[in-house]
Amino acid sequence: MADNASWITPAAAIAESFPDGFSELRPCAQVNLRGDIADLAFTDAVKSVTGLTLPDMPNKVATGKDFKALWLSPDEWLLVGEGDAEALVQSLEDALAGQHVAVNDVSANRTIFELSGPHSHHALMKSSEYDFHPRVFAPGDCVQTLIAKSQAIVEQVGENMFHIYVRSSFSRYVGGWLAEALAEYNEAP
Amino acid sequence: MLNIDCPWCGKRHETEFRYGGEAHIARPEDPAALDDTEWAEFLFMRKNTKGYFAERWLHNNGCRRWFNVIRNTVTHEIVGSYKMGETPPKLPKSAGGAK
Amino acid sequence: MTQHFRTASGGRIDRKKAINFTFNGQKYIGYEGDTLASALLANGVHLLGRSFKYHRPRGIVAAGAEEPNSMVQLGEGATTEPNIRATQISLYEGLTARSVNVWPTVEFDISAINGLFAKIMTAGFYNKTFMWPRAMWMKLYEPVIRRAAGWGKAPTTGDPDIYDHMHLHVEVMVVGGGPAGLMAALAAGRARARVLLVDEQGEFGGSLLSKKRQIGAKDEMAWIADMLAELEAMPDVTLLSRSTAFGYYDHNYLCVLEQKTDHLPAAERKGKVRQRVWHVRAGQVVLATGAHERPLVFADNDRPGIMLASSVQTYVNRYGVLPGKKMVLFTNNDAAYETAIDLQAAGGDIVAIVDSRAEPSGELVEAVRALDIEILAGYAITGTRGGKRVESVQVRAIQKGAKVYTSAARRIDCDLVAMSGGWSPVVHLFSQSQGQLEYDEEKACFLPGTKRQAQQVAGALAGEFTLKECLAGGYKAGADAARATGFTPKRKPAAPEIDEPALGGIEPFWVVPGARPIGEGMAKHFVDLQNDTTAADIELAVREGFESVEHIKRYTLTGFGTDQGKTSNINALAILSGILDKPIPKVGTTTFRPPYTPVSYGALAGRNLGDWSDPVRVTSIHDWHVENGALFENVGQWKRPWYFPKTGETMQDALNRECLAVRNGVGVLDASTLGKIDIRGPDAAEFLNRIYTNAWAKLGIRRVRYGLMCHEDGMVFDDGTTARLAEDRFLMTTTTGGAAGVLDWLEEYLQTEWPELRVYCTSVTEQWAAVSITGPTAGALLKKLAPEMDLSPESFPFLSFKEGVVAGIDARIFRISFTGELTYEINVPWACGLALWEAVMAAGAEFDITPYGTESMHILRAEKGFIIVGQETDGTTTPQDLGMDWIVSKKKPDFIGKRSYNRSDTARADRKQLVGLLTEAPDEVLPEGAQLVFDANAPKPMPMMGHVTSSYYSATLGRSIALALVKGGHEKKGQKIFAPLLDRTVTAEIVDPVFYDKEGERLNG
Repeated sequence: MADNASWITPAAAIAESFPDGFSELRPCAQVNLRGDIADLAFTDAVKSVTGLTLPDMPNKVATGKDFKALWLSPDEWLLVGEGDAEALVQSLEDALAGQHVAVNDVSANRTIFELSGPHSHHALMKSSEYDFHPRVFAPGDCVQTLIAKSQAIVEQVGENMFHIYVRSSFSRYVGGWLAEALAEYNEAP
Repeated sequence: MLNIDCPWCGKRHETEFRYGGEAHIARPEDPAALDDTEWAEFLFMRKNTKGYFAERWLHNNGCRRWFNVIRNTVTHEIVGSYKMGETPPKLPKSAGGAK
Repeated sequence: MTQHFRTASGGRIDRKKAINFTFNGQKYIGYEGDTLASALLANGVHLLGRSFKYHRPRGIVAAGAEEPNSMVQLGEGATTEPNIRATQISLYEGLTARSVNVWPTVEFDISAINGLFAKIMTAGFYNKTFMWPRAMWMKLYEPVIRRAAGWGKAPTTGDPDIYDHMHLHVEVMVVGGGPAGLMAALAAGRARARVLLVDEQGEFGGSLLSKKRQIGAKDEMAWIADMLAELEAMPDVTLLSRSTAFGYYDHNYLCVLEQKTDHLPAAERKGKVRQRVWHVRAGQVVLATGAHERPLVFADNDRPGIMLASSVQTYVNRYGVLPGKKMVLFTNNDAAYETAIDLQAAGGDIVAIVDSRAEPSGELVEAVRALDIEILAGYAITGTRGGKRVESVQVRAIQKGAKVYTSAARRIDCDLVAMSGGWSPVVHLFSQSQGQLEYDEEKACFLPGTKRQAQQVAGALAGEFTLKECLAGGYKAGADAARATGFTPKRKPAAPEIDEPALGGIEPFWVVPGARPIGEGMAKHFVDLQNDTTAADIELAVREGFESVEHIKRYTLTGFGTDQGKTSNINALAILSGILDKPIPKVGTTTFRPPYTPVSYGALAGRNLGDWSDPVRVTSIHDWHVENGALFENVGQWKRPWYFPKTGETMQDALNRECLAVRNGVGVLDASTLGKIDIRGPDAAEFLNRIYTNAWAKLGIRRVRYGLMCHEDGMVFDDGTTARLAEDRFLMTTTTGGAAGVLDWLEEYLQTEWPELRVYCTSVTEQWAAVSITGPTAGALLKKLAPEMDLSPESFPFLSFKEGVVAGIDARIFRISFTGELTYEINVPWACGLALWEAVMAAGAEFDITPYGTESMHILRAEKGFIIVGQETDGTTTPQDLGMDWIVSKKKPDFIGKRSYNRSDTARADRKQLVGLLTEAPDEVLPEGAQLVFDANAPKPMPMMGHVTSSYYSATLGRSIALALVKGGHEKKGQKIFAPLLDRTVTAEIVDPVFYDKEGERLNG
């Protein structure tokens, strides 16, 4: 990964306007992985590198010590963790050599917002047609849907805490939208 | 707004999908072997069914899978969806609706 | 003014909280809990406006959403709203409202003269009278008619209020918070389903708010309070009052307008969301929307003071208002008798009850008889008198079947007429959900029949007109809905003892004749009060040949008002059925469409305004462009720098400077917006072979190739360069606007047509920022930024790429060119784009590096004859049309589009083909889109031979250039062609589309 100091997304410029409970996370390693979940050689190799058993259930997150894996499609996952994306890509490429897979460093492709607090559900209800009710969506779940009019991955990381992954070019739009969605709840009581 | 059952992600709102037109129109194995009429048939001719219709959808804001849906074009009732290569579900006899 | 018509006690108003308001400039006082309508009635104000066509005085008819008359202009300035029903406006301190459709005032309205000409203003009047001469419509007729006829006025400035949307998923949504709806919500809530209950009013309770009923040990108010307390305690039950379900769409998707602050004084609204549209997806919907009372259609039934009987009851019981002190009741059913009892109890006089039934009987009728009120059984009102308020009615004994009544007329003085023609269930949402209606002869109304969606109906909507039926039906509907969504309902609670009168039958009576046949004389039998449609208009429409109810509706405008004909539709239908002598079910019904009641544009838009109306995509370098004075162009959702004007420069000055800098020095472009797709797998090369028109198998590793993508019909739809990263791996670039569509396209073929191909595609558009440096000194600049890199043409030839460190950042550098000059496109991780750009600008200072935008990019590429997909192509353009046969493989057995090139249409010689144009006058820049002809003097319409696709002034060439698609253009080089414009005709010569450096000598710097 390139030097973090020069790492700037369009959302950074409006970060000062973000209310409590909403922030853009600092960059982390994101690797897009495609392969055949039915192939033990593939899943074993991924496990040997990441310690993760890739989720085969749609819209689930597998969490390990250093990485987590978000289900994106029947043959696609997003690996997320701290540390060096390039090193992760290299280890995966080595372990998966000769297999039909695709490994891409996508650390810059999306930025991640963290939405938390009692009104996080309201902000999501204002922004997405997906059902984020606790009966339906719980920690360990992720979903690809629309936030306002932008594609996004929403991952529930804890009670009332969500990570929202959006394409970097949409980050100012989505960041501004969610900040405004929270505005009515951030006035003095 | 339709509620479409993605075979992987479950029911999602129509805004997450892209329409792909009539299903089960396979690209000819050897287009060069077709005469102009046959090729035009493949290119342009589509059914305009009143009633149950098999159509393709793409979950483009979700898992990016293409799949098929059986939808009643009159009532918008969706009978079911199925993955590429799977057999379509059986069609109900009536045109939908219940007393 | 004091509230002379306020009852001594009672009602759901707070008499301790007086509220000041202004109507037509006059100050009044009402109470908290009032609507504007109830407060005006309390002050004795009945005249609220003038009718649409005849400008007749009109007053309040109803007490809710069905009100056809009393529309007002609410508020002033930017927040003013036209045509709001006074019956639906909650009174608040400082409210101001005015009548609409009056000029100059409601008391003296000049257009009332229309009433005198009413004979000629029949159905279709405007259509017939002002059709000819057509030109007069815009100049004369329309402005005058608009002034006289229009309803309220839209605000002239932007709406300052805040609106938003909220999405909600529930198992059971209940529409209507009356007794049936409350029971349904309770049943579903107790079963632990997620429940949403909405009601359009400020209070839940529905019809119970207007009637006195004992339910078990509780009165109606205690019963409602207990129901709400239990529902509010359930965590997954959402109760929304002041919330109207206005649209019922596919798959149980409903939209609800919640009016959050409209009932508050202005000072308390500040900063708050005014209205919120809830977008609800429900597993099951329980419709408990109740019923509206129907007016009776008799002569001059539109005077102020003629109201619906149940609405009179509502004003008396709920608002503590006597709409009149001397009432005549006109009815064809029992239910209305309760209004007489309640009005008398509140201090009003009942002068007479006119009942169209020959022998009314039953509990309520007897109760009225016991009060010594005169009942005229078998009588009808055959006329009314009064100016701005009803003063008397004329009654006659009904002569069954007669077109004219010859029975003796009797005049009865009164100040209020309460009428009841029976009940129409509110089937609007049911009908919107594609449900079919069925006519019930006994109840004389349409009821929900075959349903199309997962729903239940309950209460008066389902024909359950007694409270006992409503409670049982509501509970059952809620329990059934919960069960259908996978929940187990609790046992049904025991039915409480309910004290309510038993009701006798209704005898339909659709239109009342008089001493003269309907339509003769000055009397008007109004069916649709909002649109001034009369029974005679419907007869006329039939005489003129209309029979279908849909045609009659459009011709007479019945039901076309903002009230959607809530009080008029069934009467119109029944009258039509009488004229056609067909039973009502055979006449059919019209379809109800959203919205149930009007919704403001602000609410529909929500927050999707201004910056949020569409996503704005920006690159990581965007803010530098802003700070350095770029003007922007929208490309898809992206903002791209258009050009970078310096102080004092015109646009053309800036473009000239930018283009010359590229041709003579070095320019820099932010190319981050191009779509990028990583394509990987053992069959990746084969896949590209099938997707692109040219051959990919032999492309060397680290080499780059340009490709065209076509649809199966052979038409170009995207282009770009693709690099081979490894034997089994490619990086494809797409056009800025086409990225998402191309990825969908690739996945469609991989997933549906060729699943046997082992290929994975991954979008990496925003992984890579791209900074393109181009011009003769681009090489020297890159050398400075990447001193280690061997840039010699042998090591780094055109159409290849290298990996290396540029300005300290790991980068991929592509040697491609869209300008015709030596170009390096430097790709770095997206979030490092700005760092790279600033390093390039710093290092480029000594080369006088010039940032340029999309407009100069377009000029530079047009000088080279390079196409832009979507500009030179429009979905009907083949590679051959573009003169790009060189990129269409002759050897590959098949690829997408190939077969179509042999179709007779794509092979014909007179297709529109890409050519260059040079205008005769070198400074003349043709407008893009201009049509081209070969004979400028041909009679009109001239045969169109093509159009200009791109046109610029080229500083490099010192003259204008254009690209065009011209029929058979490839064979017409050297010929003259003309562009006939509005003010002149431009002459041009057809030339080769490559205007500059045809030999490509500048590519290597």
